[in-house]
Amino acid sequence: MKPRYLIAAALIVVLSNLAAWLGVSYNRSGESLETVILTEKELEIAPSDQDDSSVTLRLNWRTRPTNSTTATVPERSVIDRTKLQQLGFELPEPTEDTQERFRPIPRLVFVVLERFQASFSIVDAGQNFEDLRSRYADRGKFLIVQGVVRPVLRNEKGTDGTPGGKLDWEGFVVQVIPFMIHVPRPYSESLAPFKSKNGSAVHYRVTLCFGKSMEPWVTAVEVLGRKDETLTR
Amino acid sequence: MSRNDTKAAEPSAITPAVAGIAVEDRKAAQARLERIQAFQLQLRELLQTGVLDLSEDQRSRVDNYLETVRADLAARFDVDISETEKRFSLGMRIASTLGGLAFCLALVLFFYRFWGQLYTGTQVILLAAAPLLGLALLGILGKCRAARYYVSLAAIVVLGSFILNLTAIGFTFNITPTPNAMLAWGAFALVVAYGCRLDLPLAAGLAVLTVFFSATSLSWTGGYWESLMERPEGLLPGGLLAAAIPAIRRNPGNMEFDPIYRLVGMSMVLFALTILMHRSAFSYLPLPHPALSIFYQLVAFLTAAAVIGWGVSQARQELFHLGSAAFVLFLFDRFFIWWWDWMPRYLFFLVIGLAALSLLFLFRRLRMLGRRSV
Repeated sequence: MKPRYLIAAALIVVLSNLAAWLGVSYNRSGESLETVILTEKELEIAPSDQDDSSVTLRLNWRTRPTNSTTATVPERSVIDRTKLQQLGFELPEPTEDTQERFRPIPRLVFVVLERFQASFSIVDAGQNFEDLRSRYADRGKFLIVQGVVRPVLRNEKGTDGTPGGKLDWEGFVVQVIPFMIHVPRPYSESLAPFKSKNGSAVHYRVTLCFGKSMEPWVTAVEVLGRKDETLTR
Repeated sequence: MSRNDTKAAEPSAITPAVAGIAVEDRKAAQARLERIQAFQLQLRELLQTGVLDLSEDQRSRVDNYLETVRADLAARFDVDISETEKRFSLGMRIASTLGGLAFCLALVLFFYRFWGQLYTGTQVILLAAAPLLGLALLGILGKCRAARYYVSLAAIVVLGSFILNLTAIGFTFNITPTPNAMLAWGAFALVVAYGCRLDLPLAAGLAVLTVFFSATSLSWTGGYWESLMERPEGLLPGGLLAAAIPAIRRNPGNMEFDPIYRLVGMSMVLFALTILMHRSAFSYLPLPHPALSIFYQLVAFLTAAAVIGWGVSQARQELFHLGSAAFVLFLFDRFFIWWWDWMPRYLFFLVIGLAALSLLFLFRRLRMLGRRSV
């Protein structure tokens, strides 16, 4: 390999690493946008085998549980057609063949997660972080992260349970970013022994900061005790 | 590990026939060698049958000249001088590719096995150092004039280490996924390909850059870039550009990689059309569903036919094979969609057989046309 190619290739490596480092520095510079303390219920240890020595936490989230009163109407999303349009989706009037001829592309937006029982539920979405934070100001209750929203066509079932009712667009969060959160040393040391058990054997608290680019990092981990000890007590 | 495995003594002087070939252009040297070998065989036959009559002196001068050029090519380039060597070469190429991929996997798994025990600073340094050390190794192999199989294996590992580098950095710092890493990987693969004169990194680099442009254009429209396969039209400009590069670039002398550009470019185009002919809902075009579906079926068939025509008219074997394979696949795919559900199975396969016969007839006609044009 000639020196000029070697230099060009080395430059690409150095510049890409530098760009990544600058991005990380920007994200973590100044005051963090959000600082939250989460427990093993909301942020569980992702199981991994012996081929992966890292500790990774997984955000435990799901769509909001149904608030419908009839069993024939399946769970509705909190992101309705009006909200989808506010998120920037251009959606045609739904007809029988819309699914065949049109597939909207998912968008990256901000989603509001609410602590609900043992996990997070999605309660809202928007394009502006500040606007969402002002509406969901309780930081102990609501967490705002990035998420990918996909519009889907919903065909409500009639009272006899068969499709054929009203067609309408709904948005579903298909991915929360980041879904997996890496725990670096030294914070990972206290959680590493519980990796193989999916974190189900231990109580812990993790302090998580979100920076300017909404990328999180772990700033503290506190192991509160084993669950079997709690049961014995 | 040097050229004789592959290495031969440097000739004292370069013959004029070899002097025109750039030292990196092994393919041109191989083609030249094969032409000489074919000429030698033909000459022997002409002399034996008495069609041609050369004096002892003339014959000796021709033989000497050809042998000198042959020896020169064999010494200066890593060429295969016999059919047996060619077969070994193919085996070594497969071994070097598989070996490179295996080393990549070993590197990735080794890193993941131990990275949890390292502090972040050490992780970052090791991740960035891996591709740089790999590049140093490629430089050393180049200086030793190592056989291309070793270089190819090392290049695959270096590419793998750079992919691991950016992927693991992203994961370590919980960076929001972006398509920008693909720009770095694609550019890096192209530089390694040109630096080491290797096909595989070039093909990988072109494919990754095409995907990068598609993902970036999708994000410009507001869509999430990871859904790029739901708008495959984004692959078309990059694919067409890659295929057109041999025709539009300024330096017409360096044609070694031209088939790779055409092959990868048109493969991306045909791949995008394959998706679109099945799922017209994935299109950017605001046309009604049945019309759009028919439009893309027509475009797919016409593009495959155009690729065949391009291959025949310009004697581009790689294009002819690609276009033929795509055309046959598109045709059988349509047959399956149109007829499989309602046609008796015996009739379906009879139709497939008849279609294959028709294609044989068509390709024979094309071959005859090709002969006439020669």
